[in-house]
Amino acid sequence: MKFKLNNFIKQKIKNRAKEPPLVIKKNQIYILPTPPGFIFLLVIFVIFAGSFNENNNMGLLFSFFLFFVFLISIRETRNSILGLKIISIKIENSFALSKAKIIFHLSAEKNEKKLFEISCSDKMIKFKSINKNLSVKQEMEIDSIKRGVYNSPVFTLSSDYPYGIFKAWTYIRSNEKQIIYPAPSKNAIPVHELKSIMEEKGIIKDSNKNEDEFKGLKEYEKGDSIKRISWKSYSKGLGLFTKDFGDQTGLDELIIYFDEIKINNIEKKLSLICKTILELESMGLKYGFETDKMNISPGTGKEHQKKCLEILAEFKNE
Amino acid sequence: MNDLKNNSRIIFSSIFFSSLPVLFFMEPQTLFIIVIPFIYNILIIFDKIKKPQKKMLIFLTVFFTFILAVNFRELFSRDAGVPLLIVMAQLKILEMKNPRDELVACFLSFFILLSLILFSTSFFTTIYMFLSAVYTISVMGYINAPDKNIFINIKKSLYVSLPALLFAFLLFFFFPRIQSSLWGKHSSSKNVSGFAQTISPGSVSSLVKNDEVAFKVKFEEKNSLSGTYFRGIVFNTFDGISWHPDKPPSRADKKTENLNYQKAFIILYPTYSKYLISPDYPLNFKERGIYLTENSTLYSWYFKINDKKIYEVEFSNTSPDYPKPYEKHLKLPNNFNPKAVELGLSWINFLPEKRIEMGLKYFKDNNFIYTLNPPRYGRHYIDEFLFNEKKGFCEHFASSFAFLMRAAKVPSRIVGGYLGGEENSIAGFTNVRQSDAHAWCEVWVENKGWIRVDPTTESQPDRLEINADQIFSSDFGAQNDFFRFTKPILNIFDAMNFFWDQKIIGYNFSLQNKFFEFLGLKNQSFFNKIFLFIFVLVISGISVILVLSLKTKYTGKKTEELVLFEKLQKKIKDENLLKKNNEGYLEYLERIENSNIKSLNLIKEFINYFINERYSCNKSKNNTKKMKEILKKISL
Repeated sequence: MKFKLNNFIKQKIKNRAKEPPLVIKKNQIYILPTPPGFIFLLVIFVIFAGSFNENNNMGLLFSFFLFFVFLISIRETRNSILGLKIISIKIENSFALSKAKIIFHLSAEKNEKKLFEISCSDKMIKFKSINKNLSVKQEMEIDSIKRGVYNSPVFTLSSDYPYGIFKAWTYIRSNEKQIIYPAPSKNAIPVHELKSIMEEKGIIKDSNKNEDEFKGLKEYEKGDSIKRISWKSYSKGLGLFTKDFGDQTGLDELIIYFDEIKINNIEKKLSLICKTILELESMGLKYGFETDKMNISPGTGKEHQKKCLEILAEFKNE
Repeated sequence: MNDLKNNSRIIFSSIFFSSLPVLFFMEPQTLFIIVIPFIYNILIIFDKIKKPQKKMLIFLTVFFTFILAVNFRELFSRDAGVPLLIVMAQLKILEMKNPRDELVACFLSFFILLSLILFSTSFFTTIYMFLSAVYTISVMGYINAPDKNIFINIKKSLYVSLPALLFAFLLFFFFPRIQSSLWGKHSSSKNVSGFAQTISPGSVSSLVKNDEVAFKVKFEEKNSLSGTYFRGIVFNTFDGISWHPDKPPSRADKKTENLNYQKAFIILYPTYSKYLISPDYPLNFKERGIYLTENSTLYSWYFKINDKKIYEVEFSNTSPDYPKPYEKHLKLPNNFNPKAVELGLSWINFLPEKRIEMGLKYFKDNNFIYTLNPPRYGRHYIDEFLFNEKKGFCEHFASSFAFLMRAAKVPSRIVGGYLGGEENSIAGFTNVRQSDAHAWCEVWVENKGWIRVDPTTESQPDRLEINADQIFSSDFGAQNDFFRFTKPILNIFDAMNFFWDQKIIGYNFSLQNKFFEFLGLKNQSFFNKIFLFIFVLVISGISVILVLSLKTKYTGKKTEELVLFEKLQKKIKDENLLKKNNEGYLEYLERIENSNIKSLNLIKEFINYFINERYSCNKSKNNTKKMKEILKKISL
């Protein structure tokens, strides 16, 4: 029961986590003694009790001294993260079952900050020091487990500097959503299959199965996809050539019809589409995406791919 | 791994500094036992031998505990406990695995440091304690710090320690004191030396060569010290060889209303007996557990004075008129000193006061010699002293006179204590040394009470002026010049120590009451005091956290890579190409990549090494070296 209550409080506190850009303020910092800190307190108490009983003034003075060292180190520990500026926390999109990269960009506003760490569940990165008026970027990788769009995980920024008897911490989170794409499946949907679906829908009239076969090299023209450059011949010093796949009008624009892919398990379906998008992008083809609710017109490039993958990540299973 | 090694070295040094002063108080035998783990540790730290396995550590722990237990036959006294603590701390260093262990080793270091107060509480010990505590705190910082530089940590720990010390003193004065201890004190050590519990030939003279300070005394009213007798023990019974005190002495049943009293402040060093010293005739004593006996001495009922005792005593110069003499004050053992008995009996027809006069006259007229090396006396030593040898020390004079008086039917007793002392002009107190130990007589005269009679000074008036040491020490002249030179300095040190003892170590119930009176808080109840203490505690706690946080400033030393980076920035002339303050290093690199800066690749490489050095966890030592090389190549 107590444990649950503890978790409940923790959750409440975590919900107050602030988003960048922010400067860590006094009222955002929590401080508690670490286990060695509690031992230290015990040491002080033993010295105090013994001296009190023996009427030993030296012992009393010594215990008071250590007690104030203990108290003042609260301040020192708090100062080690107080005023730290969090400029941004970027979360890179990732595929499920892989790692998501998180980039922290921090700077020390007023004075030098030393030895603090940012952790998220079992992952942790350490910052050795940030000098005054300097900024630092550091990456952290966290596991992305399941497809979806999530709120940013809560990160704990903590420090036990300088004596390790206190730990000061604060909760921070990114203002970005964490987007996890479906895990790409092993195989993509072959291009000809996509084409045949399109034919069925009546978008492409003629189907020539040999069309996407390699026909030969032609000289490079401006606008040709980089992915089709024949690097082999380039490396032989023959100049730039593009691989010719014949007449490609109509072929360049492929549309993936979500409803036409006959797999019952929606996650598997999404994984397959995900892989297909990756394949098509690497082939340099133009591709689009269509469900009964939305329609993305064909395009190519990193941005386009991201847009498509994000739709997969957001896809609601109804 | 490397960190652990560095840390264990620095923790070793902290434990070494903490235990160093304690080692001076150890006996050679104990010292030998303690030094073994020290040497063992040093050998391991400097990689001469391998770190022991866990089994070996357990064996060593048991081994040393056993050795110390056998040596002292106990483990929880001061003499055995402190060496055990030091040995255990040494073994803890060998057992450390993580930062938590290392912190615990530091806490042990605090305990060792604290044990020093069982041996000495002088001002200079305290300063050493403080410095060593600051060092241990900085070692705690060192363990945890990213940069392994002890000097930076020492500096930083001073920022913490100095305010802590200030607040500690504040709390110290407000912490409510009680009149005696809560639950019994334990004895910290066995008997070593001190004033004799019986008076027999040689018992006082053995102390005379002891130059240690027995106690320090400061009178509230400055009066002539010369001639002040300090009472210790009263001996009522004589068995033919030794004089014995009452065991236990009875409490004085009469409260004397004496308006003509004075106050004296005394720092008494351990006597390992239950008697306290007081000038002349003490009147009362305010501490529980210590009472005034009917013999006008101060007696601690429960505990021996095994630690430095600091107290204030009210005393009077007039001799007490109680108790009326008992039978024991006239009792003489049978078949001892027949000649002395005969002499005493021959005065019996005079008035008592005349008999006393006759006795003193005998000492004056017969050329007695005051010597530290009296001849060896036999069974009838008083007879031999009075009629044959006539050489002796104060205990011979006193016991012979008391014997004569008893033989002449005058009630008499012997008082053991101190006479004389050496004044410290700076702080106005007097050092009374063991060599000032003295014994004298008291005789009962109707209507006058117990009158002090000192046969030693009657026959040797010099005894008052100079102490025995000066009379007997033959090589005193040789040291004279050295003493003349160092004495003022030693006096200053002594005065500082006295002040420390008086105001801090001796801070107690009554001094605290005075302090509160000074603050305008007269007659506070104990609960009021507790309330006041908590109030001060809270106020100081708040001020620690709030007021001090307004002013926090410490900037660490610039690391090498930063200095190199600044050099690079100086080389770049175009202002637009300098790194901005709010810019990360990678951002900066991105920005200049797009500009037409010269030798971009070199700068890129340089910044890569810089980032490696500054932010990577596993950095190689080559980084800064490479940076320097590149810096030389870059010319803009």
